[in-house]
Order: sequence, then structure tokens, then C-alpha cells
Amino acid sequence: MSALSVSGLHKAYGQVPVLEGLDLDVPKGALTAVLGASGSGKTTFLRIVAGFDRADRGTVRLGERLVDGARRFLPPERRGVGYVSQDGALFPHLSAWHNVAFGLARRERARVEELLRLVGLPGLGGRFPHQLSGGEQQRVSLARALAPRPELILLDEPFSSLDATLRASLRADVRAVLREAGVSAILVTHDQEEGLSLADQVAVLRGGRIVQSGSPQEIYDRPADPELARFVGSANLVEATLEGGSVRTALGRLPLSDRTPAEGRNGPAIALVRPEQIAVRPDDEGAGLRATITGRDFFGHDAVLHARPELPCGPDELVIRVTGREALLPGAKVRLSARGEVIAWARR
Amino acid sequence: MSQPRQTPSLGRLPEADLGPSPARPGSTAIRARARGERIGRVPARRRSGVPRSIRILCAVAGALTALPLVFLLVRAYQAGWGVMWRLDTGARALELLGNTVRLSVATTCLCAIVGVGTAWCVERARLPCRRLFGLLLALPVAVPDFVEGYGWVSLFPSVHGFLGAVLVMTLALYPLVYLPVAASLRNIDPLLAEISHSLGFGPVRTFLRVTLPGIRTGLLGGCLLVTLALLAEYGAFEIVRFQTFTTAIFTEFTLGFDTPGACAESLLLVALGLLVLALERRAAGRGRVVRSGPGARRRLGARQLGWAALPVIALLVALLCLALGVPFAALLYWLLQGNSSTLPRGSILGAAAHTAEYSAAAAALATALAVPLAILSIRYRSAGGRLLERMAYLPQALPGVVIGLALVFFAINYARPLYQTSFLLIVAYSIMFLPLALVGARAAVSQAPPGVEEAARSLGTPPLLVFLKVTLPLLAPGLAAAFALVFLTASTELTATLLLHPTGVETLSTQFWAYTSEVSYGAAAPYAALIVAISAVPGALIARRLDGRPWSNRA
Repeated sequence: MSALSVSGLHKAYGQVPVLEGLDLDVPKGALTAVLGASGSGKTTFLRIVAGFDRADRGTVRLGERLVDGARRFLPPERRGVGYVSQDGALFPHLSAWHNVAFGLARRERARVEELLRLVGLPGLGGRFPHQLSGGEQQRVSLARALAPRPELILLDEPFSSLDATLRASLRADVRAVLREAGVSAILVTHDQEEGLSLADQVAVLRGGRIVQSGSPQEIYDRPADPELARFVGSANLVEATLEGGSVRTALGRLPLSDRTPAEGRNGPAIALVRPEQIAVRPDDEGAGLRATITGRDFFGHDAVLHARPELPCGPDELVIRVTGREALLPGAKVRLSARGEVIAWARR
Repeated sequence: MSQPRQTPSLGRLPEADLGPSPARPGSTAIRARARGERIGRVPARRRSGVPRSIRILCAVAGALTALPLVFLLVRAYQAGWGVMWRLDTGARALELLGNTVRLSVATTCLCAIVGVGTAWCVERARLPCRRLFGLLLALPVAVPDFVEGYGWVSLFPSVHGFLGAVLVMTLALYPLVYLPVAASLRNIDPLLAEISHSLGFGPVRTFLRVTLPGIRTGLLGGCLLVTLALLAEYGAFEIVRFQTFTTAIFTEFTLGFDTPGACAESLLLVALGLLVLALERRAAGRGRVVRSGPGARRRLGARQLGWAALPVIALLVALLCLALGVPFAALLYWLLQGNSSTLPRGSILGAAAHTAEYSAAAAALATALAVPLAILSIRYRSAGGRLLERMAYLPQALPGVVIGLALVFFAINYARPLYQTSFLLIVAYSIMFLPLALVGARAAVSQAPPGVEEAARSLGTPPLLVFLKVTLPLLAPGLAAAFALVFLTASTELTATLLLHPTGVETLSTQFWAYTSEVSYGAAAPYAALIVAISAVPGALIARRLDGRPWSNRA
């Protein structure tokens, strides 16, 4: 059963449409990431689910309850949906303890300390929001949202205002806390890495609707269209020719993965080759596509090479992920070949 | 920061878009019987979510502020436009216009120079006793203009006419420029000036190219306040014997009951005020300086003045002597001189009680009206809200004499029992000082982070409780400041009080005026002293608030 099911959601601000027929199911107990570029309507969607805004058309169901429909609108205080915003939105006039206790009945206040422990802030209940760091504020905000035992928690880019190291540790903690609480959650983010690494299910929001949803692996391996392929991770989109069950590209003949969008067709196509699928060899070693290295971004655990292939048409630049030990410098002549299954879209 | 909330404006969209079965606005609550679940009133789709209570309160406030102008226009219409513009009225109006304009221009320019200069000295130069200077320079704001005039004229009877008016009003009003400019100087990101220095600009060019644009909004706002105060001032000009529109209107009304003439001049005066307001809006709208990033505030390293410190200190001390020394010396002198009046002695305690009573009632009413307006304009952006807010600022351009006149017309013609009651005076104060209250309320509402109310609702708290438990505690300090500000200003109000105070009931300012008009400076002194003392209390509250850190600032 779904914790949340949204269908045909429309919302416009004045003349500007934001959501145009958004459909989404969130399975119970799972963390669903809604990925979208800024301005794609992520926050609007969350605000409608929380009940802060009302949809123009469409329905929102929490479990079996209809909470927003043509004739029905349940105000936020009766929905049982927790909300954690970008900056935490803690009550500045209340201590951390009282922030967490806000949504609890008086007799349940014993839970506050337990919640603070759950989010890793035992004993900090006496602090006021301005005495907490950004990460601590977000932890209190999460504890506050969890306190009334909501069925669903909405996380609106909760990590975006934090620095990189803090973000990584908080992400892992939030995921653990959500698992432990057994609560369903929606995380909206523009950071595909965050979405793919944290979520059980990823839904990609574009142009006011969900263009694809599935497991992170599925979204990465079989994106619905080339644009989406670029949005979830870096992608090489190369000219290709479909021939039966395989595809011929400048990087060699590659097998098509099953359920590829262009299955069973022949003719010109575009193939998606992820950077980690490309192998690099020195120029003098055998076959492959000749290319010149133009740049190298070193990340420690790995590195990304930029190469200009010697191609009459097709991409000007290929992106290749290699181990950090690969010591190729810009200017080096190399030969490239691809390996593994790819997906391709037939050209019309 | 969270995404700015955009709310569709009221009723801009066609009915046809409302979906298959639109719930009409204001339809009764639909209850879901199936699950026994309580469902609130279903808001119509595509409607902004402005609660009805806020809409009603805002409409009341808006109507109240429009009242004086409406009655003025009605009165003018009744009198007939032709009657109003008799030849002599025109010629006289022209003379008064000349007087008012040249006084306003001269005094506003002087206030701008003095205000910016003093603000720079206090905020950016290394002076001994910097904090003391900062406090003392702001103090004349607590001395009402007519007390400043009383001080000068009672000690130096030669101070009169145009130059006297310019002198007295500059000394009384420059803090209105000094305070916002000093605050802007404090708030400008010091990094901006430092970057300008690193790009090779010296102190003068940095001031002109970086600092001045930064204080521009505060400076223009201060100048606007000065000009509007000049247009509205009655007491000080009467004391220094200088005729402006306001004094002329007052005299014509009280002596000749020449209401069509007073009415015509009032309309001209209002037009002048609106013109100033519009000019300021245009000028201020062009440049906005926004602090980028939520970085901690640092004080810019104060500038060493070296040998120049002495003349600067001498100038500041001289200014303080003129602005504070003279009126306080006069008060002291006349207090010691004792009562020399032939008028019957009034009860100073009774007058003080009346003043406090009326001012507190007006401050409470004005603050209560300002809260919904502030919430509407900041939280729900809609065309209607913007219009209402503009209207609420209208009284800024309405001098007390005009509001007083309008309410007298209203009471005499439509609500006779209200004439000469304290109710009318309290309403007049509330209208006059609604813009002041609104400034405080707006600051309070915009400082309260909007996300927290929604967070509270998502935790299961119904709207009314959210208002009591979250909104009100967050607004309280700002509203207390707004209340104090209105109380301060109302307790020293003279013009409207003279027109509207109930017969036989004297307030501090009316009793002061009665003695001063008789040249019984000694008898007037205790009243003036008490007026200054009363305004000092809320003045100190405001100063402390300006000085302290905004409490919701995140460290």
C-alpha cells in the first residue's frame, strides 16, 4: 500500500504553471527522492502535500485518506505530515527541547529526550536555535517533525545549506533515523548524487510532472530519455547505428541492454555510454577510437578525463572515469573503447 | 532560504478555471460524514489563503485611514468648488505655498547635512565618549518641536520669522535623519568599503561610491519624515510667528470658522504631502542595497581623526548645546522663575492622566490595526493587500490639523453625540499614527520567519493556537516597540489635540499651549518638562531596541 499517492496534480501561480499533471506513489516505509532542477516545482509539490498550499486540480491521498481533492481539503494540522525545511524553520523563541515538544501532548513530553538522542543531540535541549550550528538545527527540526509520529515526513532540501562534510554525515544519520522510526519520507533535492545514494525510490520531476520513477539503479541505467540521462550523472551521448540486438558506435560494437527504449529497431540512434564504461589505452596499442586528452579532474579515489575524439561528427568531448592512479596528462594521445551493455534511443 | 511564497492575487482568474465543482469562497464548512473526520472550511481553489478575519480587520483599517480625506472631499463638494476658489483665497494660498515650500526645502537640506554628518562622526570616526554622543544626538527626537520653539523664543524673543523657523525646526528634526542613517552605516557590510579600498579608492571616493549608496534609503526616508513633519507642524511655527498652510488652516478654522477656505487649503496641503511621498518613493525605489550572505556583522575599523578630532568634537558639542541645551536651560530657568500666569491654575496630574489615557488607548488601537495590515502585506502578496498598505501610509501626508478638521466635520454632520468626546480624539490619534505602528509591525512580521507557522501547523496545531503560541510571541517585542512609538508621539501631539480634546478636559499639551499663548512661560514650564519626561521613557525603550542585536539573528 502507498503512504502517499498523488494523481494529476496541477498548480499555477498566477499565469505561471508550476505543476502540470504530477503523478506519484510513495511506498510505505520507503525513502523516496524527488529529483528536479531548481524551479521544477519540487517545493510547490511538497507544500501541497503538507497542506500549506492547495492544488488547482488533482488529488492527494495519504494512505486511504483523501486530503486534497475537488471538494475536500484537509488543513495541515490534521494531516499528520512532518515537514523539515531548507533552513530548519525552528521557532526562534523556544529552546531545542521546547521546539521538539511543540507538537507533543503534555503527557508525551517524556519522549523529547529520546528524540533528541535519536538525532544525536542528547543533552542539548536547553540550547536556543541561534546557539546551534546549521547541522544541529536541522537535527532538531527532524526530531520536531518526528515527535508526533507522522505517517509521512517531507524533507525540503534539508542538506543544501550545509557544508560538504557535514552534509555527508547528516545524510547518513537522517537515513538511519528515518529507518529506525519506520516512517515514510519524501526528500526533494536537486542533487542527483544525494538522491541516488540515499533513496529507495527516485522520481525525476521535470516540467511539472514526474518523467520517470524507479529504483536508483534503474534510473541511472535506463533513463527515459537522453536529457534525463544527463541529469542523473554524467553521460556520453554518442551517434550510433542499431543493428539487430546490438549497436555500432565509434567506440565499438556494444550489446544493447534488455528493455532499451529502441528495442527491435534498426537505423540511426543515440547511445548512452556512461563515463565508467570507457576504457583508455595508449595510442600505439591496437584498435579503438583515437582521441586527445584535454583535461583531467582529480578526485582522489578516482579521476575524470576529458578527451576530444577524432570523429567527423558526434560529441566533441567524451568524459571518462578512471582510477586515480591513471597518470594521463592533457595532450596525451589515446585510444578509447567501450565495454558493457548500453541503452539507445532510435532517431526519428 | 526558503523559496519566496507566491500567492495568486484575489479574483484575478476566471470562474471557469475553478474545476469541475468549485467550492465557492465563504461556503459553509463541508463535513466528511463518511469517516467521521472533521474537515475545515474548504477554501476555494485558486484563491489566496488570506484568512477572513485578517481581511475584515484590514478593510476596517483601510476604511479608517481613508475617512479624513473622504470627508474633506465631501465637504469641498458641498461648499462648491467655485466658492472655495475666491480670488483672495488664491492669492493668499500662493503666498502660503511659497512660505511652506521654501521653509521645507531649506530645513530638509540642513537636516540632511547635519544628520549625515553626525551619523558619520558617531559611527565611523574614533571619538572619545562615542556612545554618549550617539545617545545625546538622538535625544532631541524626544523633545517635541513646540517645546524646542518654546525654549528658543522664551529665552531669545528675537528668534522669529523664516530664519527662526528654520533654526528651530532643524534642531528639532535632524535626529529623524541621524537615526536611520546611523543605523544604515552600522548595517552596511564593512567588507564593501574594504573591497573599495583594495580596489584603490580613498576614503572620500569610497564614501561617495560605496557608503552613500548604502545609506541612500535611510537618508531619503529620513528626509521624507522631516518634510512631512514640517508640513504638519503647527505649534512651533505659531510660536516663532511664521505662517504656513497648517497655521493658516488652524487660524481660519478656530477664529473665523471659515471652513470652505480651511478645507481648500487642507486639500492643497494634502496634495503637497502626497507629492513629497511620491517623490521619495520614486527616488528610493531606484537603488536598493542588499547585504549578501548571512555573514556575521563586524564593525568597520573606526577612522582615526587625529588633529581633526578637536573641531569635530567642538561642532558636536555646539550642536548639542543648541538642540538640547537651549530648551533644557529654558525649562530650568522658567521652572525656577515660577508661575506668573493670570490664568486659573490647572491640575498637572489630571492633565498627565488624561494624556496617558488617550495616548495609551490610541497606541493600542493603532497597533492592533497595524498587525493584520502587516501580516497581509508581508505574508500574502496580493494587489488588494498592496493597495490597503498604501492607504495605511496615507495619513503620513495628512497633517494633524487636517485629520482633526475632517473628524470635526464628520462629528458635527453625521455623529453629533461623538463631537467633543475622547473617542474622537483617540480615533484621530490612531489614524495619524497608524503608519508609525505599521513600521514597527512590519519589522516584527518580516523578522518572524514564515516557515515556523507552517511547521507548527504540520505538527497538528490549529491556526488560532499557532497565532497565540508562535506568531504572537515572535511579534511581541516588535509590537511593544510599535506601541511605545505611538504612545510617545501621541502624548506630545498638539494640533489635533487642540481641535478635538473634550471641552473642559485639558491634556498636558493643551494646558501648555494655553499658558504659552498667554506668554506665561513660567506656568507652562512644568507641563513642558512633564511632556519631555513622558517622551523620554518610550524614547529610551526605542533607543535600546535600536542598539541591541536583533534577537532572532542566528549566531
